[in-house]
Amino acid sequence: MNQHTSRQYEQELQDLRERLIAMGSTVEGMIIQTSDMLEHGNFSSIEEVLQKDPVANQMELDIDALCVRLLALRQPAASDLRLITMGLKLTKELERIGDIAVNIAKRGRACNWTPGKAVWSELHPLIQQTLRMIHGSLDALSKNNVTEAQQIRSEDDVADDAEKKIIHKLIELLQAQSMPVDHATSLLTIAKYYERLADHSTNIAEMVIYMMTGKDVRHKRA
Amino acid sequence: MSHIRIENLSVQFGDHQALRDVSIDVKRHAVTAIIGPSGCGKSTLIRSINRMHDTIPTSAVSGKIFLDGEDVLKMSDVTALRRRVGMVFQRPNPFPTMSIYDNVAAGLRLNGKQNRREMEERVVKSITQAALWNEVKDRLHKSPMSLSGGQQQRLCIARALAVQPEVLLLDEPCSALDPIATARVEELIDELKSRFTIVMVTHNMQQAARTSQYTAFMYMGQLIEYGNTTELFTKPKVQQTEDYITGRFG
Repeated sequence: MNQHTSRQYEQELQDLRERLIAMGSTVEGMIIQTSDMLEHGNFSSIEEVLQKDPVANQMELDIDALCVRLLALRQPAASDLRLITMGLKLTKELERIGDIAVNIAKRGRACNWTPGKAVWSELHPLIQQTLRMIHGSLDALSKNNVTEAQQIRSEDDVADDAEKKIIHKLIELLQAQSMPVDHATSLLTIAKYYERLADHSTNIAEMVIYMMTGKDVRHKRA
Repeated sequence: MSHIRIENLSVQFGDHQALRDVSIDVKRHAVTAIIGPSGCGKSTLIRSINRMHDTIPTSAVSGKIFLDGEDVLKMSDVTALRRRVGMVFQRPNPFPTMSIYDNVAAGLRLNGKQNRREMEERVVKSITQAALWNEVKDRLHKSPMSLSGGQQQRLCIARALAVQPEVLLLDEPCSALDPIATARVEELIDELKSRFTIVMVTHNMQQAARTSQYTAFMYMGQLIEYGNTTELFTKPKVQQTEDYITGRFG
């Protein structure tokens, strides 16, 4: 694509792209760290995750302000308009990913219990699938890669199925009275959080597709 | 449904090829905006529709322009054509020596409409249609030069409407107006589109996006892309259009 006639406008759009990628990288780091703590049952580094939350929130505010300014001053069209309007929506998705990372960490710490092998064998695939989807959607965003975004979008069902397996497992364990109810509800909530994270990744992938092609694929089967 | 059908239109002025093989269907009772950089042939295109190039000796026009199926370029009575296809120009050009009333009545008189009551009704209706009535009703017999630029432009639109055309050609109608006067003319265009087919040349892309239902992008005498305005401004199909509307042109 050619450069803008206005170099300042070109620079502002580049700044927006870089800020979105930086925010994505921040919240991805939060969820990776949280998942690691959860896996090892060691929440000693939870403060690092909690401290990143206000950083992500400030990034959201700054990006939103930049988008509003560009809309007001530049009257963007076509791909620029799609980037800026999606910028406003992407920050919501990214901010929620950061919030969920914090919630999982807090829930895991409060639970003060490491999932046993039987539960972990079900939870681990969901966590891995979600982390893969978050990374893939953010990679698609940074590289403007529609093919990768389409791939991520098609994987949402995989995360949904993984969540269902955990629910079934927890019900089994509860019926056999081999797990305390409070642990089961905590794990249920954590599983739900990961499934929501996969949904946010799918939303990001759909926004990348819209930004790059102008096709709105929301609420349509992948 | 198309009202004007242009097929393979080429226009040449001496050595200069102003339009190359342009084909476009202009939809009835809708606003079609023509955008593009200076010298791309926008004005040449709309001026062809009511044969404004006829008086330029070096001009050569080929192709076809159908107005409701009738070939405009073969019409023998150009005055009759211009009754059906009215035009408003970039700068307001009221007749300075005539009153506001006479400016609007001029076209009717030229067309032999002599009945005074009928003429008065038509003048009032045209000024009202042009959203100017409340501002001039008490000074109809004053000079149009006392009006603001925006009011003068709406007077020119009233003058064009008085002969009850089917099509209104607007060649950058707001380029000499301030933002408030521009907003009034845009509102007027929106009201008029239910009764007239409007083709508007504009340099202002936001104006094209706001007021038109269809947009044509032209470059170097060629039609590059034509389609639904919302689609063209959010996801153009041709890279040249994308570059132009996002300011990456040149």
